[in-house]
Amino acid sequence: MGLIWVIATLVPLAAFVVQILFGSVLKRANAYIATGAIGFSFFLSTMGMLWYASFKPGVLSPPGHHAHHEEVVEGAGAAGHADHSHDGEAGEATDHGHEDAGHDSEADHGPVNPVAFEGSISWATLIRGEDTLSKVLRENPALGDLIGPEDLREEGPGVVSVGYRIDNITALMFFMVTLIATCIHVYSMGYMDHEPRYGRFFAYLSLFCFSMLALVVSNNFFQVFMCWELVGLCSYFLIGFYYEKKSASCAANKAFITNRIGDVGFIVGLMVLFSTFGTFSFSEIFTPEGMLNPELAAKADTFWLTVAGIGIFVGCVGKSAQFPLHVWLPDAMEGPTPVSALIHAATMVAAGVYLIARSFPLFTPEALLVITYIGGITLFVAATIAIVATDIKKALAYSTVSQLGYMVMVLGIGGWIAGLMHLITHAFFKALLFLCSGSVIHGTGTQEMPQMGGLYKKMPKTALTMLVGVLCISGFPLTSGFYSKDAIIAQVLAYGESNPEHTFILLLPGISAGITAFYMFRLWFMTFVGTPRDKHVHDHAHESGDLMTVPLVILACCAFLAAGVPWLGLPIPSLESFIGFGQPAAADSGQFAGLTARAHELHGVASVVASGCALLGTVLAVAIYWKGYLSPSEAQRQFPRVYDLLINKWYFDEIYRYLAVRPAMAFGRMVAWFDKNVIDGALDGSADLTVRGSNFEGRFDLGIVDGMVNWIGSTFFETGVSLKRVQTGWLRGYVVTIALGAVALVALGAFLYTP
Amino acid sequence: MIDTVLLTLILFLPALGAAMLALPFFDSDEKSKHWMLINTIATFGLTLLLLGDFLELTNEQGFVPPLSERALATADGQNAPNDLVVRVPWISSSAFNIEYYLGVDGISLSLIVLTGLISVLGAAASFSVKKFTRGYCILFLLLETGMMGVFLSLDFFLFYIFWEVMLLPMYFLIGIWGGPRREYAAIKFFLYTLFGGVLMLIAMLGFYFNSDPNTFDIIRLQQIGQTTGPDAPFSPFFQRVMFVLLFIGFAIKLPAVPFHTWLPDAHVEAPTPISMILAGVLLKMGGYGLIRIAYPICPDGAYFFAVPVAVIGVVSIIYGAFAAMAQQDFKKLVAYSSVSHMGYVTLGIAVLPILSPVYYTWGMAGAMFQMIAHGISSAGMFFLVGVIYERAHHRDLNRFGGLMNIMPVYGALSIVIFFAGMGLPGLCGFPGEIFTVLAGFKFGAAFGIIAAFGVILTAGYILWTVQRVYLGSNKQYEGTPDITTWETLTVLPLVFLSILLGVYPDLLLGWMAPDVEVLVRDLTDYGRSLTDVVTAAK
Amino acid sequence: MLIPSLQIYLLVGAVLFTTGLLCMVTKRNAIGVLMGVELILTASNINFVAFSRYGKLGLDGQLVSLFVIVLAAGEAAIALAIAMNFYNNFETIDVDRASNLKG
Repeated sequence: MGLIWVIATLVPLAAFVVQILFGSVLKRANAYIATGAIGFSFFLSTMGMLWYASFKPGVLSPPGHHAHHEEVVEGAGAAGHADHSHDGEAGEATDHGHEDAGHDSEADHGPVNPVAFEGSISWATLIRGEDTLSKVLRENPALGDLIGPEDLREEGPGVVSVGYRIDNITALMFFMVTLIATCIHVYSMGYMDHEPRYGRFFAYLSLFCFSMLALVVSNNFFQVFMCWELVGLCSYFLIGFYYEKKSASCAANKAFITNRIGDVGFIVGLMVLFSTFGTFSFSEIFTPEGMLNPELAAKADTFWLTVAGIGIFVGCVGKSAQFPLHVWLPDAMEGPTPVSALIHAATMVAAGVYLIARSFPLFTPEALLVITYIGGITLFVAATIAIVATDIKKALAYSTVSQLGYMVMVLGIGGWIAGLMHLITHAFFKALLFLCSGSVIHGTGTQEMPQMGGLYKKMPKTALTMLVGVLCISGFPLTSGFYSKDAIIAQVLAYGESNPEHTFILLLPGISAGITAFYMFRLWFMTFVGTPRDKHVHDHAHESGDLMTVPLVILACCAFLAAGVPWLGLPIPSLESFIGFGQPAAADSGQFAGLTARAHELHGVASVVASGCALLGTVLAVAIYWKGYLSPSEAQRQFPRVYDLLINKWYFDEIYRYLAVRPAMAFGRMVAWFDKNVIDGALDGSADLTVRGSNFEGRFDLGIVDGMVNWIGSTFFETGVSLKRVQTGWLRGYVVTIALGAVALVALGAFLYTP
Repeated sequence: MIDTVLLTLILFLPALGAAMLALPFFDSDEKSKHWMLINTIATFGLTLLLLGDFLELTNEQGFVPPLSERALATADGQNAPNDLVVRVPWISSSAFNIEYYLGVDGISLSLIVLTGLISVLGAAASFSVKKFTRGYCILFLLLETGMMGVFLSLDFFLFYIFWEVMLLPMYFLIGIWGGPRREYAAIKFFLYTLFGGVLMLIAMLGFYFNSDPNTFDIIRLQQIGQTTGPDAPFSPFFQRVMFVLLFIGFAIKLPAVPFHTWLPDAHVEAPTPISMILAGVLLKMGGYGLIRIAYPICPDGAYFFAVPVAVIGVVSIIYGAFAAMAQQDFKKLVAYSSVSHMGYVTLGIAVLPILSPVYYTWGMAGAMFQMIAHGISSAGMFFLVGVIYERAHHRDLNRFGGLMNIMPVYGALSIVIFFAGMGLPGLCGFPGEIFTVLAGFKFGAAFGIIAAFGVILTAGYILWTVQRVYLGSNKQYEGTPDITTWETLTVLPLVFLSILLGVYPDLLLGWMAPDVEVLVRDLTDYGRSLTDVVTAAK
Repeated sequence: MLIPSLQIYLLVGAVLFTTGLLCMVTKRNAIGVLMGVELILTASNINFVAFSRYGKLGLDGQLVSLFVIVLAAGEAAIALAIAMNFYNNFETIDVDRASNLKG
């Protein structure tokens, strides 16, 4: 069964390879290959999704083994390295829905993760399997000196594997991603029609789809990290798609580097998992019920567990654009609009939230508190900036950041179901909103809302579908957004009851719900109603073609119905209950014990609160931007400080520029200077010193040592010169000398002689 | 017997080729270049043959017997017919016992194959050389023999000889065919390496005269060094002193901060193929020396100096990255990125006090993987810089821009290679980096975390470079011809390997990791016996 | 009347020696110098013979004097040859002109 998802993941990769290798031959056919691939993935994931959805609540777990009896069922004792032994085939699956434990836990602990397929192949083998080693030792006793027997049961990860783990949450995410991606591929064929790098765009999209799907199906943190970086890479390429523009390449760099800052946190998380748990595998770290594996938890102290949790969360902060790393997402709007819809609204930025949900049991209460506060700050800050944004895409981007903040915050307070629900519904309506804005941009050629207005008549399909999206995100009753936001508010209320000390942060979702409704309606009104503010733009505006509007309509339906609205009475589980089957036990125990049930009771109150806030915001927007009772410029004049703060996005970019970017550059220059002047200076200095030393030595050699030798020689020479005058050549003189000498000698002898 | 022929041929085929270049037949530049290329290709083919032979050594248990086992069996006279160890007395007098002693295991073999490959690509990239072509080819081939010798030798004396042999051709290759400041760079390179070589010589003689019977046999010395107990021939103090000497010697080659300043100059001045060889192979000798000689022979020193060495590694990572960020010269940037990347190697090797073979294998295997990956990506980077230098005649990063549109194939290839250097998952730079960082954290949280910050800096300077050179638009270089077929063929193997090793690291680890594991287990056992002694004393 | 005694012989020898020496010093002619040398040799011969007769030397003194005579002959021959050659080169036999080897 798991094979379906494996194939569905690999198809876009194959499409990518084909497009890259034969891109120059295929040219525009690239689009068909990419779209066909993701469409096929969508088809497969729908099959899988239907299989999951066919279970009725209560009988979902344990899995009916008859349904997939062809798969290998491993004994419970074979956990650990046994998973890593080469399966050879990726398709060979392991069933981790325990056959024996399943029935009991269902009764005791409520919902259990339903059917989970798992399988993996080794990606990097660092240590050979235990079996091989013992066999070697048995047959080569001489090796005993080299390989101590105590090493054989060494704890720790010897293998990095890649694999898949499918449960209903994965299936749901997979379904969502492939559905939206398919729509956006079709839309892009229209939107990117006139672009010069049409083919390459689709190649990138295929690579992204593969990375995102591989991330979703991952069965271990390491693979998540790899895909995490790969989706970041695709995001980089697509943000910088118009790389001739300096702003685009800068935005791409900013996105990638900001994400890498988050990734450092993720790496820290990985490092803690690696060194304390010795494994990255979900199924080893978490129990099937969704708690932290008690055996492993006993090995780690709380501090490092918290560090691991916060580290992984920092990764999510980067990817899901949470405060304080949210700055890249608005800039990422430099990319083509379909990309903004797919990557920067629906899927990749949601991956952070998905990861928080996936690793939920890992988070300690301290880590969860951090998550709550970060989410709370993000959702408020981003919502306030969205109020004053005039670029239609940037307004949507800030809205995305804000909505992601909702998900993160609610996950922090144990609202696992609510968070994931909002993730799914938001993915649909935000993708819809972006595509609508893309349609507007395509039709008008501008992104600035002050130049729009009154476009309803010109592009009715876009306006209406976008209105659906606006209603959804504002949380109007019966829309999907209503259900998910309602779940969030209910969770917040339930949590607030038991934790009054965090009331402040808990007020923010309610306030921001109102702000959300306000800025979304502001956006819609400014774009579609009122009088045209720029005649030129208005005259050229036109409705987009079918390739673009059909996906809009499909997405609008999905966005509206994504919550699996109960009033439709379809024979499928609602989104909430479907997600609920997968809720980990950790989200309903410990500090969160009973919270889910309490939140359920508070749904009524919550829906009143949420709708009330939304209504307030809507009324205000209607008053200002439709009816014109109040003037926005008047408000600007009344609160100049606030306006400045908001229009400058709370000065985050400036703060980072002065606190991080410039110091880093300056430090880099300093290091280069140090290298050139101090290290190399010392080196050249010592070389210089050596040269001077040898010069001195040379002089010493010449002066003293050679001088001595020369002095002796010259002294003898001088003596010889002075003595040569004796040699007169006067023969008779010699005779006289000899005679006198002889006389002198005799005289001397006589004188000295004493007998 | 066949293995004797094979190993000797790999070692001396290039030298033979160099000697034949002296024949009057090679009177034209073209002939010399083609001969050089043919020769390197033949040598590369032989290394692949060697790889095949190595994999065939697999015994019934499904793994290749460790090198030490094969080497010692040969020493005992049981020369197995094809055990990839060659051992013939060379200078055996009463005073010295030096052997012609070669052997390969997974660790050295991976580097030998890399050397073969990079030499072929370097020879292919040398076709643009105009000056004294014949001399260039002779020196190039001699250099290859030197490099092969370093990786093949199991006799310390032989190792040392090849270490120095490789130095001389390199000196002339930089000093004659280099850029404007070539003399300075060549002399700096020469003196630095020679200095390290002298320290190594001292250590070598120290080992020789303290072993009984006196030997230069690296495998024997490893066993002697790993002997514990009060009557161990190499006392802890002796090991520590020797370790420092060896470490400095190898760290210069690696290069680790603060012994790295020869690298930017040498790289900037060297011609493109020589930069490829420098980055692709020569730097690996430092790491190989640490892994093959310094650590196994002086494990006590390695344990004693683990923290300083790890600090050097981490500082190299961060320092190199910051320095790279500030460079204007394209080649200098790549050179500093090498310093940063080789820091991961130092860190990965340094972490042995983890005392767990499983975790230490991550560090050691990560370091080995990083060396291979860096050999691939940095050689590619230097080649690509060379390509653009030939067209634009400058390397100032700020004066480029828009090359992606002007030279699309070149741009695409560059992106792959540069992102491989950045350590992106799916490309070859990633596994080594992440493995060493993980092991570094196990050793000490601060090491892992600081090293992980290098990831941001690396992304910073690579992306900034990509932006300044490839993105944007620029009228100035419009009409610059795209990368030629010949150049594409040169860089394509590197691109292909970058992807292959990134997607499936087991391809390399499959035959490298078992030997790393053997080494790691030896070192860990030694460390454990040390700690046992300490605990017993307490 | 003179009684032959050692002193007498020695006196004659001394006179001869002095004469010979003076002859060597004063004569610039090479032949003259040669004659002086011969006189000196003769003086020494007389002494040898005298000591042989009156001293304890026995026949040794006479033997030496015979040897000296032979030597003198050889010496005279060589000296004359030198003188001839000298004359051939310098057209003179004035020894004061022979100063080519002076320092």
